[in-house]
Amino acid sequence: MAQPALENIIAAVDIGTTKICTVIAEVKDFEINVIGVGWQDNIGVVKGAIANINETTAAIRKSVEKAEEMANVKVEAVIASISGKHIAGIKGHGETTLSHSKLKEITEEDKRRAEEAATSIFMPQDREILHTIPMQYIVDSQDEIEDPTGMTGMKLEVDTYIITGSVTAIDNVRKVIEHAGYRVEDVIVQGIASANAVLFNDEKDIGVLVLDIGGGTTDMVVYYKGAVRFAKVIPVGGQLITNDIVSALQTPKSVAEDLKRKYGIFYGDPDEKDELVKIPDMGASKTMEIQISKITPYIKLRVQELVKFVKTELEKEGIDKSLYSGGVILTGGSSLLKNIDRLVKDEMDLRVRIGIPLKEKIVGLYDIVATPEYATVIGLIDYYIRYQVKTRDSVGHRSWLQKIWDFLKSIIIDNL
Amino acid sequence: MQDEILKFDLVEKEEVCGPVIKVMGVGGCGCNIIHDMVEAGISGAELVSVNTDLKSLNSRMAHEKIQIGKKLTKGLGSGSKPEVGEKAAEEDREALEQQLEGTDLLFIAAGLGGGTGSGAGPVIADIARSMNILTVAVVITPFKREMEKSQKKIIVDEALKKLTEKVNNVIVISNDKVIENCENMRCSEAYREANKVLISFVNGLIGMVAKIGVQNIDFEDINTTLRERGKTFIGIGRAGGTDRAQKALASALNNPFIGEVKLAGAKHVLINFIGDIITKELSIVDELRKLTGDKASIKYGVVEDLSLGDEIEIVILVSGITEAIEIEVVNNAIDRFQKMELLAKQLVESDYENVDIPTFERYPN
Repeated sequence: MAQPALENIIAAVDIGTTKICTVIAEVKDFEINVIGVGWQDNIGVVKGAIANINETTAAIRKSVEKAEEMANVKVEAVIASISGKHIAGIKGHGETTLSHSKLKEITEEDKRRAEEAATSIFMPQDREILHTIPMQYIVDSQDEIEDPTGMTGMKLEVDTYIITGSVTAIDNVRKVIEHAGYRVEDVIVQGIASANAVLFNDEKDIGVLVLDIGGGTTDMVVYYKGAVRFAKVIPVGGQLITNDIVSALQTPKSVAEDLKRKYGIFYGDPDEKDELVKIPDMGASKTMEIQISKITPYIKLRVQELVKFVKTELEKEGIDKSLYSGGVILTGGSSLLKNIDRLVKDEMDLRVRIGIPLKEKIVGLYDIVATPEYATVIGLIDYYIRYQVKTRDSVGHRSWLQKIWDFLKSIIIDNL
Repeated sequence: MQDEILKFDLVEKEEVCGPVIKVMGVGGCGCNIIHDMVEAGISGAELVSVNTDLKSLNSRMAHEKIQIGKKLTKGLGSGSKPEVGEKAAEEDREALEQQLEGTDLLFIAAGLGGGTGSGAGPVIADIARSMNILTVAVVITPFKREMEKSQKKIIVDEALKKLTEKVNNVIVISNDKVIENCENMRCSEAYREANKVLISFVNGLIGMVAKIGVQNIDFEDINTTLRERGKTFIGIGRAGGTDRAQKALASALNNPFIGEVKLAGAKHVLINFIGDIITKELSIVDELRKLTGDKASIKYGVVEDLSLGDEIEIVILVSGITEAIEIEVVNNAIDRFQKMELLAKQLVESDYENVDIPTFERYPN
């Protein structure tokens, strides 16, 4: 079998609280051709943050190996996801004066200067910037510019959304990838990745709220007018639903997990049968019988509370409904919970849909990845090839010599 | 000796049993409030107006009138100078002391920002304190736009600071909040509205002490409640129809002129039910307890008043409110999900502490 050309091969690892998911893809013209996937259970992550380096390292290695085997390629570098309560976003504003010469148009370099100025915010030493996302550019007094390249003016301003994470948590992600034997190509915030995989451009424009409900966390992201306006991680996910069932019914975790997956939220529709299920008692050998409608309240309460958290976080940030009038997109493993979309719709009174990686982004094994569980990992690749590669090649890796040359050049051009 | 016997006689003659309540309106705004109260026929309290401005004093009704600073101001007012108001009150300290003799509960009603209310108010508070009278200041603060970068803000802040030091409790009604709720009213009516709010509070408290009920809140309860440190909230709500108790409580807790009350962590709650009360309706006390937490002492009284018809009135007094835990009371009926909303907010504030505890344990039915 012929080996695919290696330079187009990208691997992404979603470091989740319950599972590590790897996708290896061949990328061409922004199209993702999935050639390998690998899943591995993990117990080394707690609520999105790495709590055990060795466990997580081993799980990553296994997950990547599975994908490698399927794809029949060797992976050198991977893009990794990061989540956890420590992820925080703040608004930034930067500006740069432009050349006075009318002939000179705004370049990528000008954009970069403005964005860099926007990152000069006060930040505690234990935090690191993960993403600087331009929300809008302003040239002189004209605002809401999506891309100012080619325009002319005196001053270029940019409003950005800056997402930071704790240095320790980010280092831990780098560590586990490196310990597993791979190079860290990039670290991308989970919510941003997922949103990118599942959102249509129209939704990004009109404004939507993405809830990536995973095992340990719910990663919320608000997109409005094409850009990220808000990102936040709530430490509540599907694991807590299982735990609630365990303590309510006093049954083993595996049984609770099965009940959750199989029955979800019971609504009592005509085609829904209120089955009587036998469940074993924790530890003891006796069993008890319970109707599934009696389990629903425990699940419902947890999801309802989560929605209240989401609403509170939005309120705290001053984001009102008009910024996500396009509705709520649920994704992540726990969005597979039966009827969760209905419950969220009842609670938020908005359009709700389940988000899976968009078909237009994928060629090849689409059916495998067409579930919410693949949102993050596909998003990692998609976000990387769309936004990260460009900035890295054009500005990220410039040497100081290059920077001086660029500066001199701009002065020379300005004075021509 | 002679004096004491005389006083004893007086009390017997008037058949006053129970606590003596006085409302002292200080300054122009205070006199207007007293006037409105007399007009409204408030019973159960003696209404006294105190002012430097003789013209204002004479043109307004009151049970008792005290002119202060006769020598200093010649009856012409304090010219918006608190120092003048303060000196005027000091000048007539004795007369004020005499007036306050034997008072159990004193309300000082004033508008801050002028001279007499801001200056004399704290002096009266000081006198009351020296006589160990339970004192509540009920004050109206001027508009923000009047206060911006002006002398007025300094006057108001200074007066509030002095009052807070000397009285047991300060209830502040801001004109801004009143206007927010009465935007389309004529100005004179809106000002009166602020007075009305103040009057209804005082009246509600007087009612708590003075009205004889099926189940009584006595003066000692009010005494302990108002002497508690921390912020105080008073609210009055009236409602009829189904769930009228819940509705009345919700509107009492959500006073548009003071803002919403934060109940979590409050130490004392007094709640008075007035009207044709059904026993079942008293169960909202339990719901209230869930909002305050277990540490609060909650006492309630019931006053049968058939004149309210289908409606009931709830007067609630909360004290010892700590600012640390923020809980907002949302409108109307307090059901499980609204409680959830409140607690969820609390949890978000605490950075999701205890979120792992099963929800069904944290939100019991």
